[in-house]
Amino acid sequence: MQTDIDYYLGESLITKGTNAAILRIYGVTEDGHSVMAHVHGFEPYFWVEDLSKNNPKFLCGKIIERLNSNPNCREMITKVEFHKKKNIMNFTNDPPQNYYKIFTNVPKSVATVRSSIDKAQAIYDITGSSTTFESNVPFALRFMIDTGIVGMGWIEIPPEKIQIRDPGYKKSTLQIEVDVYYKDIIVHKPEGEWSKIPPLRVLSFDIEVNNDGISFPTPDRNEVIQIGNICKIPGDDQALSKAIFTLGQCGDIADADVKCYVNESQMLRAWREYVINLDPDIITGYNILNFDYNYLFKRAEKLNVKDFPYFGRIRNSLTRIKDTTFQSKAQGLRETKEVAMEGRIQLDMFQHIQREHKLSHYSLNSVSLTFLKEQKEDVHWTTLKDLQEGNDDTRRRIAVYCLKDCYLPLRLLEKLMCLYNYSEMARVTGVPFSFLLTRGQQIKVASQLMRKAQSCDMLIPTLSKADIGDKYEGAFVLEPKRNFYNIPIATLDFASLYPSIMMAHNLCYCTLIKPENKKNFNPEDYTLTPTGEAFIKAHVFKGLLPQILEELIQARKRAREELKNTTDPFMKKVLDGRQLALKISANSVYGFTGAQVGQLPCLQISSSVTSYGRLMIEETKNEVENHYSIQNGYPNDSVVVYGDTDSVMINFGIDDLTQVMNLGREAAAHVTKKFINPIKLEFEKVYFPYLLLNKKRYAGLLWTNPNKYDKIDMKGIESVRRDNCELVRETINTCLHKLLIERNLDETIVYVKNVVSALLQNKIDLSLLVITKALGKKQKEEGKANKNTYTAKQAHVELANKMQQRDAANAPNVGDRVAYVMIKGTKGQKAYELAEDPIYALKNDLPIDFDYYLEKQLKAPLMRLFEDVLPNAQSLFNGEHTRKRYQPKVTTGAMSKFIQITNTCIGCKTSLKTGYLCQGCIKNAPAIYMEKVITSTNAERNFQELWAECQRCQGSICQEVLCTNKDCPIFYRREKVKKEMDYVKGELDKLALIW
Amino acid sequence: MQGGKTRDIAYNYIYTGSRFNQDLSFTHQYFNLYRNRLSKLRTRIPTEAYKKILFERITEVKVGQEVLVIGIIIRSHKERISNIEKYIVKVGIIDPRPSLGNFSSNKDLLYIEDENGRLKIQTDTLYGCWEHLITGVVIGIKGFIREDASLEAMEMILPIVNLPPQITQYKDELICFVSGLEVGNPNFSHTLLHVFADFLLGGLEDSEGSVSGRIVRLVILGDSIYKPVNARTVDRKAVGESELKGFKEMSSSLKQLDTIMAELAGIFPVDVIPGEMDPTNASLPQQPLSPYLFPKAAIYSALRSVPNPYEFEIDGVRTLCTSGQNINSMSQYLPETMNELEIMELTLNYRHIAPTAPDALQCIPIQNTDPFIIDQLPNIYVVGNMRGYKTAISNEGVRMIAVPRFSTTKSFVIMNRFSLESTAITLHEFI
Repeated sequence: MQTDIDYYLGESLITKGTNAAILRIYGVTEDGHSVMAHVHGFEPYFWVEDLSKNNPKFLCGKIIERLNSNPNCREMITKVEFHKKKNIMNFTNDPPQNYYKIFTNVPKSVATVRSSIDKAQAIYDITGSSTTFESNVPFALRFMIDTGIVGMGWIEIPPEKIQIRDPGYKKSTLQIEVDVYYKDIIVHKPEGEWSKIPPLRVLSFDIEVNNDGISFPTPDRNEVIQIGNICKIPGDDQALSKAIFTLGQCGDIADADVKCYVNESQMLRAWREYVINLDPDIITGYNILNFDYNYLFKRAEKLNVKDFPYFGRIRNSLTRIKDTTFQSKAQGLRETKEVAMEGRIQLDMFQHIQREHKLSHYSLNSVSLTFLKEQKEDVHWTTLKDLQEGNDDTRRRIAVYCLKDCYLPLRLLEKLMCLYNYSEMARVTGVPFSFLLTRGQQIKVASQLMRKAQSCDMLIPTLSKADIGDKYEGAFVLEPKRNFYNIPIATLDFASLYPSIMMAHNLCYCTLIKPENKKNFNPEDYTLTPTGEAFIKAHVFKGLLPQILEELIQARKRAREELKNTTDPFMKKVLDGRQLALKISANSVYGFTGAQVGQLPCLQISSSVTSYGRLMIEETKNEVENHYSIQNGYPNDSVVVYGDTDSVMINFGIDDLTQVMNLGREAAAHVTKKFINPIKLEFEKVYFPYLLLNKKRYAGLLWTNPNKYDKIDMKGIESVRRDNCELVRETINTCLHKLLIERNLDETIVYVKNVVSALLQNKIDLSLLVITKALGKKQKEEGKANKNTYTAKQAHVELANKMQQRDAANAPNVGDRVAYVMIKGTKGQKAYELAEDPIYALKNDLPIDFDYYLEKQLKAPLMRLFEDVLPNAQSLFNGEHTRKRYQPKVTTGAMSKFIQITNTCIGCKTSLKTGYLCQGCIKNAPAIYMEKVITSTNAERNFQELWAECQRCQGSICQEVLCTNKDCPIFYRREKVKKEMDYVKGELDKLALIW
Repeated sequence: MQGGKTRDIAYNYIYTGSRFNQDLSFTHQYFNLYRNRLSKLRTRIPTEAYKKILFERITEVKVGQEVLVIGIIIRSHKERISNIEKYIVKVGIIDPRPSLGNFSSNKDLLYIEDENGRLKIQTDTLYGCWEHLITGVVIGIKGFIREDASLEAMEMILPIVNLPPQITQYKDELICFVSGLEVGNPNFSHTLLHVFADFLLGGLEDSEGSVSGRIVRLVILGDSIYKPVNARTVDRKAVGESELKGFKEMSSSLKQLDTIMAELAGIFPVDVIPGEMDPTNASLPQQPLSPYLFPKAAIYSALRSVPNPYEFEIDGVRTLCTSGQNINSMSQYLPETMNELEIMELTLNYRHIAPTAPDALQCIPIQNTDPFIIDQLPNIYVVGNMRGYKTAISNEGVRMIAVPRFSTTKSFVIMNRFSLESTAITLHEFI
């Protein structure tokens, strides 16, 4: 199976003597041997249209001459051929036209020659531009398209056509290296027997670096102290290799190779050797692209280890780190590094998860918690220094920790089925695996389109990248009728709406009729879309995009069918990956036509698609509301309360869940009849109850079966902002739970009031109030020099500075997450001065700023939630329950010196002159004593549960817990419980004195 | 003052459980406790026969070797719910995993750990017997290191211990054990408590002659006070509820108990061991209940408020008591088929009263010792708050007695303090 393809310039076996492009296919054989084939004879080419009107002056030979004499592309053209082809753009009745197929000496020349041809006079003596076709296809992909190879597909080379290289002639470190002529390759479609995936070696690594105890490590100053590695074939139980490279002696680890080095350069060299010998197909880790590789390479440079950066499968080929940017509509611009290592795929789990999953935190801790339900011990980097300078055992602790960091990305990779899903995506779209990681969405559709076009003798024009600017109307949203619906709301969805619109109306580049040509066609033969574009109907000519979509949808149907019938767990993963890839691919075709900076944008198509969508939602709404009415004998007039892109929510005005489900099914079938095949409206689910807050913002209890609900479904609510504290999330979730499942509004209100009053009385756990924010790059102290520049002061930055002054070693650094709570300040203090380290606040009894939490954190999301539920939502935040407030002891600020702490009664907190209990409470002394005892035992229980959990989580009960993972819900509770115990113990001791 | 009425008993009482009197300090972590447990019990594992294959450090073993390693067992339970889960705010998840009463399953994984590292134990070669292993016990394992660096266990080696002292005398004198009085439990009639007191005081005529007359000591093994539901947590979030209600109920139950104990302590010595429900610290070792809680009974020196666990010796016969938390905690992590007596014997075999502390059982993070290690086997091992009365003699000659919860069984236990023969007496309300 091929895993990657690239090419190099060398002496081809076919065209001896000259430099030609030779492709290298890297792969793995069925039994897991690594193999590479040098593929000879395939030449780079592109197309250009023939504007010559059969003028003999422009015969093939002449063109070579003309172009080769052009100063910009001297001697680049090797061959020109003449073919009959069609342009994919626009439908015409014209017969195929003449196109030149221009072959160049090397792939790079394609771009050079293209830019010369763009100025048309390079070929024809006419001014104006002439379009080139398929001149921006990466050479490797060109080869794959022409030979039918797909990414992660199987290739066979017949034994008689193969030349196996002797070890002496091998250019690579692979086990088998062969030469072959490109036409001798047999390509297998990745179906049936050829769906299998051979054993691929995945290496996960992680480095640990030292520090000077003050600032964040940099490769200039701080050495790499350990490199952990785990190599495994996904699906296997046992790892192939588990090794840790350490600087300094290190205690043994039973199932890992511990390799100790005195010298860092030696360690780096040995590690390189290890990786090469292991020969992994895929390298993974967590943030290796931006951190680990970079650090290692810089470090090697610093230490002058010249033979270090050679990790590719080609001998003596330098591995380079390039800065690239990755832009997508969904994520914006992201700067990242690209590591080019011949024959090895770089699958950084950090980037994968960032790309594929929307999370509030992307640290390895919280990611493993989300997907693996496992916390990771987080040892702060300053602690590492002490461990490194300790003894064999402390260094062994780093090693165990480091290996865990290697293990988790591997587990994530397997759990998220990355290998299967990416492989199937490569197979479906036909691009190499690595394209999926380094390139955007467009190349995937482009690859499919080119393959299809080639089979229809069509050519795709290469457009110069110009922004077409015009925005078109996007997805359509019906105005929501905001309310809390305590009645079943049926939801009807259009199944794959955009693909089915494109299929139903035969929308494609090649079916679009230019407005001026409309008159040439019989109006019966074309469709006018709501935006006024004309597309030829399928009975005349079936468009390529509809064909591709149809195939994708058919293939998905087959894959799902097979999935049902397969029992083999590996095959199941493959098939599930495939059906997912097919679904995603089908949905991304529409995006390809609408991409504003795209390869082949065609707004006529994309705007027609969305306008059809809009029309259909409106039609559905009208149809449902007209048909399901009292007039037609239904119990109530139905109302469409909301509609978004491809779904409508209907209130039939009926209480009974089963009845609503039946009506929903019936309505779906009824409305479907009004639309062209394959557009299909499906009944999917019922929300009951349904809380509709706004556009794209709702929550409901989802039912697909009248006897048991499925889950709470939320949209736009769960994405509570990252800088909200946990209390907000917990409160919102509990409210939703109470509203939707218990359906008890009164209790929900009591709950919210309790939270508010508990907050004001200082009874909320501190850890729920912690806010975390990443500390960005330090702003240089330019503010002083230039007083006019206004830099907004941020609370967490100010806190970081404060902590720096208190204890430099433990202060957060750039890139760290700063955790803080807001404390009450004195008059005139600015808000940004009031952030405080939670631990510090706890230890020093600093008063929490409840009003901040109430007004700035809780209020807005709760108001949004209750606006339509309660007539007077404001009453949640003022009234009786907010009267009682905790009065903090003043321990800070100027006033604290003038305040005498008065003695208060332990029972009721009224102030006392002497003693510990007031007259009223003294008769209840035993009861008060017992209350305090219970408070204390509850704290004891928490202490045991929390610390025992930390011991378990770190994987050792005989070693001290060092973890300072601020994202872990346990961390602050652990500290707080100690404080609580101290306090209660003090009170108990005082009570004991009374007797 | 010194309880002039106290029955004149001439016997030699020694309090031998002072190791259970501990400061309530919660400033340290738990790993010290495990380290102390390991270093103390390690020296007691007989290794003479295995000198050649003994590894001082678990981390030094190599693949393919025959080894003897000593360490603490970690049993990782598949069914156990992580404490973190409780604190994770769940988005859209409705049914949290229901908590099971018992977490043991045959999918549990076993590890052995020492100060330096841990090894996975392959359990398939141990057949059934690994199911009795539980987190926190210290043993030696003889075995073989497999390819994947796991330990294929062949033989388990337990620490050795001093056998119980010989009993040389005999007198017809009884000790009474009772647990789970739960004074104040609304589901339980007060009269029964008085029947119990009357019985001990000799107020009930006994057809077989005076049992009560022969009782020379009463030991109360925990859970003497019922804890009302609204006194279990201190959570005053609910608006308007009378804040101290539950605690006031408790203090009136305390008064009743005080009265009864004052009556009894006037006749013979009474030892009060705190239990899970009682108003003192909840972590083992539980410290004695404050004498201020029993103003009337505290007058008598015959009333001893003692820690849990509790150990004493009379005339050379040693008794070890607990209020049952140790056994109840272990039963959650051992196969459901094991009964309380079997688990009691396990603790004796492992030479440790509470192996699940602190992993699953609340425990004070003691810095420099592990008081739960059994250096010397007692003659009698009594555990309170068990489901029913059971007794047996362990392999090493310890008389084990499971004392049932009085509030649910209406039973208590009397035992001859020399022959160690015991019997349960069940009261009926209207005799």
